[in-house]
Amino acid sequence: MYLQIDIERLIVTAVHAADLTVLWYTFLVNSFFALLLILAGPQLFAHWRFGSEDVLTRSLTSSAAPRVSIIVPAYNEAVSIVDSLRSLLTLRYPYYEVVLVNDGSKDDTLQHLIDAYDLYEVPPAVMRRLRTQKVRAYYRSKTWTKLLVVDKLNGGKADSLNVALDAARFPFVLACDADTLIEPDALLRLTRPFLFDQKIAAVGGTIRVVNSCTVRDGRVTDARVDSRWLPGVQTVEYLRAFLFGRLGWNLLGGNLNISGAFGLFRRDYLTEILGYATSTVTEDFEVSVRLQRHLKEDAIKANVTFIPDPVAWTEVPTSMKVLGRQRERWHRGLIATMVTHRKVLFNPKYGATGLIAMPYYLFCEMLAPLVETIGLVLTLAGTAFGLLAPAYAVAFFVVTYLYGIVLSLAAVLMEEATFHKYRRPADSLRLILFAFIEPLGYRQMTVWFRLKAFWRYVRGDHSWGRMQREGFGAGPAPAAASTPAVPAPTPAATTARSLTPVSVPPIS
Amino acid sequence: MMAGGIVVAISFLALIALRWRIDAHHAEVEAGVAALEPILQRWLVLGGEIDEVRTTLRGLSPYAALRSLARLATQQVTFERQQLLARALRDEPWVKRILRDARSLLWWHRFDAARLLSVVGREEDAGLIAALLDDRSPAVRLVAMDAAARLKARPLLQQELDTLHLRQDAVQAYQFAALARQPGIVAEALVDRLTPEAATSALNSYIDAAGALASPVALDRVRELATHPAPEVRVHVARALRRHAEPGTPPVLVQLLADADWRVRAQASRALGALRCGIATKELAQAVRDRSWWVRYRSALALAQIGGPAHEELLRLTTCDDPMARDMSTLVSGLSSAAVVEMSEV
Repeated sequence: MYLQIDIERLIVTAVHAADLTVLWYTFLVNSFFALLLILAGPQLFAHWRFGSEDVLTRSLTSSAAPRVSIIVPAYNEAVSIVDSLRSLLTLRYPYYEVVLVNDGSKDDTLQHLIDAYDLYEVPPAVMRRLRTQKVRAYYRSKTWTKLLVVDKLNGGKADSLNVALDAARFPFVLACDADTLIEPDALLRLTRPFLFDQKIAAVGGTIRVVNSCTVRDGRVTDARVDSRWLPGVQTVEYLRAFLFGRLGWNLLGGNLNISGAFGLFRRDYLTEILGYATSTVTEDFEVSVRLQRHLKEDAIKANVTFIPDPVAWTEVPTSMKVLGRQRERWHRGLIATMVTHRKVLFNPKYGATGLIAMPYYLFCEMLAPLVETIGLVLTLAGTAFGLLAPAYAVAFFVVTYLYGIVLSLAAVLMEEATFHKYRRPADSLRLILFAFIEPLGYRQMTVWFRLKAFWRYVRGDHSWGRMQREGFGAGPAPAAASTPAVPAPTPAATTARSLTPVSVPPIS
Repeated sequence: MMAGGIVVAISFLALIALRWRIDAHHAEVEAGVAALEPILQRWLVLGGEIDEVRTTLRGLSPYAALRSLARLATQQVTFERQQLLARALRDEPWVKRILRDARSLLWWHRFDAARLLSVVGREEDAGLIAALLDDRSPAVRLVAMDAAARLKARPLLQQELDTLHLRQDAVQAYQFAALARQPGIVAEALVDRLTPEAATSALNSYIDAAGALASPVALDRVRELATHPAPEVRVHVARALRRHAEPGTPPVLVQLLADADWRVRAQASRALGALRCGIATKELAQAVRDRSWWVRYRSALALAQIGGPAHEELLRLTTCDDPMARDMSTLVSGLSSAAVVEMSEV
């Protein structure tokens, strides 16, 4: 009898202790996000002011603009490549070139390019520094002097980026996806930090959700918030992740996440670290971490920074299945990168990267789904079996959900007060409503997708999974087109939307 | 639920209030520009009354007045007219209010003050502008450069020149554009500084400034630095000389084309192409066989740029026995003339 009571007490105490730990963990994680929010506020205001001062924008149209090579991997993009490329070739920027790499597409991507841009084959007069799959041919355009097309054997997105890195002429490279829409003055805004007298290693720009926006000739002409809940909540998620998630890190000095869909890098640094890793499923996050390591190990005083101006647009998944694949892959990439670069964790030699950023990604991002699941199960089970006082459940709910909602609302307010991309009041209202809806169902599903990533990582899975797109400007109409499914072993594909999961603050 | 509803309602109201304020500001600036532009044009071109300009600006808020004036005046007003404008506006209450904030703790106030000084700044403001040139905010420093360059104040321009080498490339390029507004004073100051004894990093900046200004006097001094022992300096010399179309320049560039450092050779090729130096065809054709990719690339482009016999030489190289020279000449000879110009420029 006594033994039975003791065991009961033990269980109650254990549940209490575990629940309290989860509660505190959640509180601290969300408080850290609140800190990022506080740090991001003044910067957001400053960038908004800079963006609205014509004197600063004008100055970069002069000879002060750094030379940039835009590098674009493309795989089976025949349907959209001509339009996407045209939008890249007509950016408002004085000095740039576009290096597009056809990663052994199985469709007519290359032929479309040859016909549309009057390409002619040129000798391989480029410096090869990185090991990649074999390049079949180089093409220049008779009509667009800015354009270089490289045709190569299939080797994946990272491999294509490495080929483009070799072929690029300019000191800065902008890695972007073939299906990302870039605003005409995006490069001007992205290079703003150069005017501020900083030595720059990499700059990341904001990516927005294009679903439901009106797109004409590769340009977003009318920004809308999708009324469907799945793309809708992702819009809020992206706002939160970019407007304060990444901006806050600028001041903490450990910006580890420059999106592969839109990120500017110094080419020589990328070459020194031997370019992108072909073995990872989130090459952008991995290369950002490796770049930070390189800067610290070689004592290079250069910044990895982020600017919040809305500059590029991407399509987000509209079905649970595709979202699940995407989030699972992102989280698997995060786990792999954390394991690969575990040496940096808690290592004072790496400064803020080792002492703040990497521990943050470990505890607040990588382990978040595990902790959130434990917390949910314990709270529900504990309350159901009378092991926990209802006050605990209420506290858990307040800390996990309401705190998260407040942060999302703050991101929405920040967007509306500054860049104000969504002009209609209905869109603003939708953003607010989606901020409330997000924790109810959506969060739990993404936790499940991320949990699956642990299992697949342990099994050594390196596939990217299949992605489906509706096409730009398709909106909620069911008749939307979809791209051909991409076979799993060809990662350069249209799956190239690679915002890493770590950009998204969880509400664990 | 009720608490949630209240939060939504408050958020939405806050949004509306914020947007209203921002949109009102924008609308006021646009209205200010629209009202000011014809009046400013009349004053500039037809000799209209400055009082009209003054009155129009007085009718706007300081925020809108500054932006309307800065947007129009920095693009359209000559130095002499700018001085007249400065005298006329200097005692306006809105001008005084903005300039009073030049030492504010808030960067955007200092930014506004620096921006206003680029229109209404006078020589007696040199001290204030000098302080803004050293401001902790890079945005303020950048705008102060404009203000400094608009004044014919020698100490300010010298201060800018002396800090050039501390700046990153993009900022330096911006400064060159600003300094080009006072070419006489700047060239004079550069000539004093372009000596082999100057520190390498500073010297490189002065050489770049001379190149950006395309000042013949300063570039004559740059040419004399072609034998400087530091290869970095010779790189900058070769690059700057592409703007110096004087008879003495091609022989110096041909000499640099034989430099031990590939960066110097590449820049010398580029400069020979930019100057269309047909007399260097033989040396450039030889440089297309260089072991450095960049030298081959720049030399082939230079031959294409020069045209005539040089272009024929480039075509001959497409069938030569050196595979690397053959590839490069085939690549460049296939380019359109627009592509050659564009690729040679950057």
